[in-house]
Amino acid sequence: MKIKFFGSRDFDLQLVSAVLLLCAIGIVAIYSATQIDQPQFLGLWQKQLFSLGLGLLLMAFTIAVPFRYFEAFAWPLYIVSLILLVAVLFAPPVMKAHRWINLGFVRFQPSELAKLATVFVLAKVLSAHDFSLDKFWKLLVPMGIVLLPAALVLVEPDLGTSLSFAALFLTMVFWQGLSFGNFFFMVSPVLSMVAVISMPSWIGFMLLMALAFWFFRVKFKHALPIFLINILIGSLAPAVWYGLKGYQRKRLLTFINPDLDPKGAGWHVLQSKIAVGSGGLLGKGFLQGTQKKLSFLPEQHTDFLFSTFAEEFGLIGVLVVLSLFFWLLFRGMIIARQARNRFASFTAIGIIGIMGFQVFLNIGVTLGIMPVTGIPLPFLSYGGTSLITMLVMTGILLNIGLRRYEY
Amino acid sequence: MMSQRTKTLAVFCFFIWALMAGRLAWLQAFKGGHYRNLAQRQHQLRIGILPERGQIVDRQGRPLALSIDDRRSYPYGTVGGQLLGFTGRDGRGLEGLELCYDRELSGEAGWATRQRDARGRVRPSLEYASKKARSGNSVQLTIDAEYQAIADEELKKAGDKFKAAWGTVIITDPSTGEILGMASYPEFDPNRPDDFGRQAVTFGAVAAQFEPGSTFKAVTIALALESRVIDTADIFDGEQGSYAVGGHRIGEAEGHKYGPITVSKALAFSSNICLAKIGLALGKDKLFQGARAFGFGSRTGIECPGEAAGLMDKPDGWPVIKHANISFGQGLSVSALQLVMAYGAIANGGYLLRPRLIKGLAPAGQTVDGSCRPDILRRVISDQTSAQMIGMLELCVSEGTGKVARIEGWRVAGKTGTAQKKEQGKKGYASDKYVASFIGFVPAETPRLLVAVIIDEPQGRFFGGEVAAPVCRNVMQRIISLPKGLRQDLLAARSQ
Repeated sequence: MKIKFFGSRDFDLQLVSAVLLLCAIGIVAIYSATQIDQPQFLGLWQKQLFSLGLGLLLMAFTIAVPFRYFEAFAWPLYIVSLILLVAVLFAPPVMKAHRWINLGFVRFQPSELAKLATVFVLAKVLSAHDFSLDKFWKLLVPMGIVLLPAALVLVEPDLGTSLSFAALFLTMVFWQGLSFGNFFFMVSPVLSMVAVISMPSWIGFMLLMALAFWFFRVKFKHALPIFLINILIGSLAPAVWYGLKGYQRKRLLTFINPDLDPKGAGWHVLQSKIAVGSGGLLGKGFLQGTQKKLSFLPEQHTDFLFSTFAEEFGLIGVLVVLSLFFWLLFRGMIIARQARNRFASFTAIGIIGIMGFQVFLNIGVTLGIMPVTGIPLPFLSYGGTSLITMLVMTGILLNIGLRRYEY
Repeated sequence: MMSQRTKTLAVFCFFIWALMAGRLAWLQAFKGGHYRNLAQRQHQLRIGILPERGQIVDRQGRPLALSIDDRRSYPYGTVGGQLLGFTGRDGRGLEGLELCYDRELSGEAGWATRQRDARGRVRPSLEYASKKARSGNSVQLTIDAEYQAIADEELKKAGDKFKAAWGTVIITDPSTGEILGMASYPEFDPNRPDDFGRQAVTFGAVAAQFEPGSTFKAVTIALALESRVIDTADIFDGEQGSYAVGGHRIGEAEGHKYGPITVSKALAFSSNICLAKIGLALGKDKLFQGARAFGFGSRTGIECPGEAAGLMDKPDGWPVIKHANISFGQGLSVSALQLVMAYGAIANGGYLLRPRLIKGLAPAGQTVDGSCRPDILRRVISDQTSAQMIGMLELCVSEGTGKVARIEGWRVAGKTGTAQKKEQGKKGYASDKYVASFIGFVPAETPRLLVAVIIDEPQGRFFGGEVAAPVCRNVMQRIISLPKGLRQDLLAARSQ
């Protein structure tokens, strides 16, 4: 089959433009973020440029491969990535975490591959003709498929990536047609755990839940177990809280109010907020960020690259970036909706789930609305594996878009 | 179904994006100023710039105190040590002129804004505001470093020789009231203040007060002449060395016995009995008022800290014996500077001047031009009285108790003093504690150089003529022998 890229009406130029613009912004931001008096960072933008070239090549290759091959190789890929996830735990740690396998010429993160493999497998399972989520227990198999790699990633430890497994899972089961009651059932214990921090907020949350059940006419036999589980979690959570270690509790608390401990755990968030806030409406200008230049910003070319960008380009600049991301996700959803092949549709939406979640988590951290979890900003943050994975995912989206009429 | 899900998902995603955009607008647009402040406080550091402390220079512009690399240095060492004082580690004046003129010398601190990075490293940054420090003014003194050095040297010699408790030498120009040198014993080196005790730091020239003894007799006689109670040729009976006043006995020093002598002789040989008679003749109110007019009992107003005012009781309560005692300089206390200014008035034609120690203030690197005009406080005696007094004081040196002070080729006038000291905590005078003094000036025809020497508690010898007069003579002699440029005034004043 012959595929025309740019001539084709089905090739999503808008999506690829958004991605290329984001990548370009990323290179510019990395260049600025590394212009500090630590010479070891100076050449990183060139390295990232190289990764970008490699990623674009792989993206083109990904577009060319018919998506049926992904379906065919879903399980083998999943098994291989699980093996790699176990293997990485025995690899020498980098900064106390077992996230990377060093192949000599390049460092590689198995968790990135695992995300993609999990999306394929999950898409395959959920898109099966005889599969439906009419019974709650039917969720157990998909849950298991996700939990296995997610747990392995969690012990690396890499909370951010592990959470993106949860994100892709939720997005995909939502796409499958999980009923509201079931969906809420899955999410509510987590919400309940957060709400139980104070008694009034927990009672408020339970009342809100009851109101929601009544409004959506959830059957009593479904509502009751949800309530019971929530009460159980609500009463267990405080016990767990006091079982937590000191630093763990501290982390949670400084998330709630980072100003409490400006030199400790809240330092990163506070510095990020200062950098972002001091950027103001128009920003301090390219290369002019003082917080960046004087190294107040932590991880300024990786996880906190967004803060660097926000400091130098201001609200106007970050709104452009947010819009590009939104447009990328929106085009991705359109592709997922239009794809006639169910596997392709699920794959697309899973990728959108990963991308959207990572963007939100990363930016949310820099803005102090999410707890500090190290996760790169897709397409922008420095890091070859992340960039290449994201470009490959983009390639898959474009691939599905091109073949949206194929069954 | 799928379409509905897409919409829900898109709306959910939009909601999340709106949340982030809202948060960004809050941080950057609404709280932007707040975070800019925080950022500034983090990376901008204001540092103070210390101004250079002004110099203290002598009348010729030679530095007596200067700052080198934030260290205060006194190139003349012990010369004028107590007068100059010293500074603390923070560079602020702690004693003497350094303290008194601290504000002028200090200048004004400046500041600069530096950039500070996350590791606390500071670097200069041109893009921020700064304020230059203003160097302190230099203080120019009327002191002449050469005169001062001579005074310090001669005083130390005598002080060490007689194991004195303290001593002072003051050199002035009686025609202007300028202090040309002001030395204090024991010596003090402001370069190393910690090596000296509290006593050494005290500036005896202005801070100490003592009973003047015979040097005060000139004041009594000047007042009596001025009010025409006596004349220089009047004869007073010396009573052969013993005279009863108000139930007390007055004697002469060294057991001298004088018969009837003229007022001139009485001063030249320093007769206590004759002076008591003159003082009693003058009357206690006139003596008191006159002494006050001469500046005793009040501060001279010199521009340096810690000046003593002296002590003179009101005449209402004086018993006759006290009246008699005060007439020859016992029973009141004065400061060396008060004596100097009083003798200055006798020497300069009758004008009591305010002493001048500061020639002026000048911005760093400049000196004060011109000479200063004498600051006349009041006229205390007439020209005629002044001339009579100078004649009698010349006689003191040429024939009387101050013979030691004679200088070949110069007409020197002066008066010795040997005051008994009150016993600490007891009534009456100690038998072995004296204040030896001598005040002299040259040339007698137009006095331009006045030297006062006070030596407290000399051991071995104690007469002013033996202890203080040689110091005065040496100081005068050495100043007169200085290269011509430094004694032009003196040469011009001397009639050939």
